[in-house]
Amino acid sequence: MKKTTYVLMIGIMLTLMIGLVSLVNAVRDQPSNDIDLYQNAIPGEWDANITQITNPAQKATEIMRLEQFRQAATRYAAQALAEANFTGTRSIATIPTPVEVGSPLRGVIEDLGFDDLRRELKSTNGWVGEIGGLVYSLSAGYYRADESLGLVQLRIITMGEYSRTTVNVDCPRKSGALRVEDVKGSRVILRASNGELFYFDLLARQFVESLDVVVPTATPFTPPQTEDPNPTPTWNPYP
Amino acid sequence: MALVVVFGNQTFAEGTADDEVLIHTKKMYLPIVNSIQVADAHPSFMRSYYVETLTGMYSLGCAQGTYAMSVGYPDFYFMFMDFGNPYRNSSLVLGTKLYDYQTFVTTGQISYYLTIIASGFADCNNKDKLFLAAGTNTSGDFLWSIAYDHGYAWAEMVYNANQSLQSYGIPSSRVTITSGINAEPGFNSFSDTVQWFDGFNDHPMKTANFIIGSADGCPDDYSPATPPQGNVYPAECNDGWTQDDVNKINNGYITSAAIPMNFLPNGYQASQWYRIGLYFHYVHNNNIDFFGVMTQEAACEQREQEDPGACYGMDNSLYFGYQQFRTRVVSDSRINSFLLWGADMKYYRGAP
Repeated sequence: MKKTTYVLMIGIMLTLMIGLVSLVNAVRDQPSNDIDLYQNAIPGEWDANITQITNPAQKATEIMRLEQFRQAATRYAAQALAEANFTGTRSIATIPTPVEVGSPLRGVIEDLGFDDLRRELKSTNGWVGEIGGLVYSLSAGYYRADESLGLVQLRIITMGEYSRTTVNVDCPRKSGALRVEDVKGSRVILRASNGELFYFDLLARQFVESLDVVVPTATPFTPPQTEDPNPTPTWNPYP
Repeated sequence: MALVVVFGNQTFAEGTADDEVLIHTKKMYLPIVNSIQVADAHPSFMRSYYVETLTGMYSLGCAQGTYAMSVGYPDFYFMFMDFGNPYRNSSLVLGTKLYDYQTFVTTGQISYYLTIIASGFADCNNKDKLFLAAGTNTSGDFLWSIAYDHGYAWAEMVYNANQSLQSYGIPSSRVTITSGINAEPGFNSFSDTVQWFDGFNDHPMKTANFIIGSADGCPDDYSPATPPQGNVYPAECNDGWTQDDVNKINNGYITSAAIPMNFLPNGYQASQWYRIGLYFHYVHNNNIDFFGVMTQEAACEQREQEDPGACYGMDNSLYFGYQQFRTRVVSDSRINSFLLWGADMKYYRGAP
């Protein structure tokens, strides 16, 4: 091979190597926005977690990862996360309020839904209306675990300062899923999946035998004590 | 907004002032940078809410900001505001039904309230960043009729809300609005659920989408902890779903970032997620990512006051639920998990 060609090849290889090293260094030196994790790591806590690992291979891996974390923390510790000169003054009056803020749903509503933290209910439909200055929202449906058992969920909502009271009432007989057919005054007419009709009185908060039977109303509704709209945050999940 | 994209181990930066960094690791866009894939040694905790009323939102944001200020170091926080079921009114306007079970709100109105919350947080906090997830869920018998359009509209809403923040002088270094969705097999079929996600991901300006997910009916003992010989098949879960379906919703889309539910104190849900993580590892030769854990301790306390037993067995505490998930799930190195956040649901009735 001619000497000039040889020298040219060496030069090209050196150039490539320098470029590659530069690229690697550029990548390595790229600042991370994950600064708070690096700054505020608690190695003691992580060390404690490692002692709980019984599998030797997993423990070795975790030890290596912790060491990587510590090295990264050292590299990026100097970079600040928060804005240095933040004044924090903005007026929400400059943010235009929508013409309408939420619209009420009224009448028979398909699939109104249940307040169901245990995930055990299935909704068919419901009804929403106003009686005596309160909003009555009633959902009908059944239990997922037993489709023969229907129920209603009644939610009584105050119109002024918001509050909600919720009560579940099981159907007196196992006649299948319940659906709202109509509402007459404070009486909700429901049809079960086996065709049977049931009547629920919103004021008495119970099933009644017919559309016309007179029953006493439930204990007068008392809204729950209003929560302080501007409480001093005291919640701290840290032990 | 600048974009930092990471493919594998390389970083490509387009730097401008007030950058927001997104990381694309393997297949997801993440709003957090962490090139070392380890569990967060110092997670942040914050309340999330089922929205019943729209009053007092600025004070809510400020209260959250004030709480974060009380923690002695800068951090990233996550807050999921669940505005209820997807809904379309008689005028064909898309939105949600709030958890007061009597109010419909449009996506435009939700965007406004997100801006208000963000404004409150930014006005009361100068050291932390809030990821504010605009939440809905995949429940409702009529989801099938609106799912795709609703998902697309949701992405549009989140984009508009972030544009509003910028116009009102709230930088992305303070607050970023993302999407959030509570997706559960028990809510709807996989095919109907996918429609919402397809719609969301088809939007050209989509953001991260935090999935508050469950794995209803999925087994707590399969896939096996010992690597199997041969193929691994997804186990069946409830309502026609499989473990693969749960994976697709929680991790399969480029925008998806999983924050699994861990409501059960007995650890069953954590075990379900562990097995889904193993399945993902065996089948995809890849590691699943969990960004945090969700509980509903506060909501349970509220409901139990009027209906004792309303939350029986589903009332895992926030701190215990987080630690339980960390011990049962992410202690396995085959399950890649940031676990940045612990979030706990509460009914929002006008006060934090």
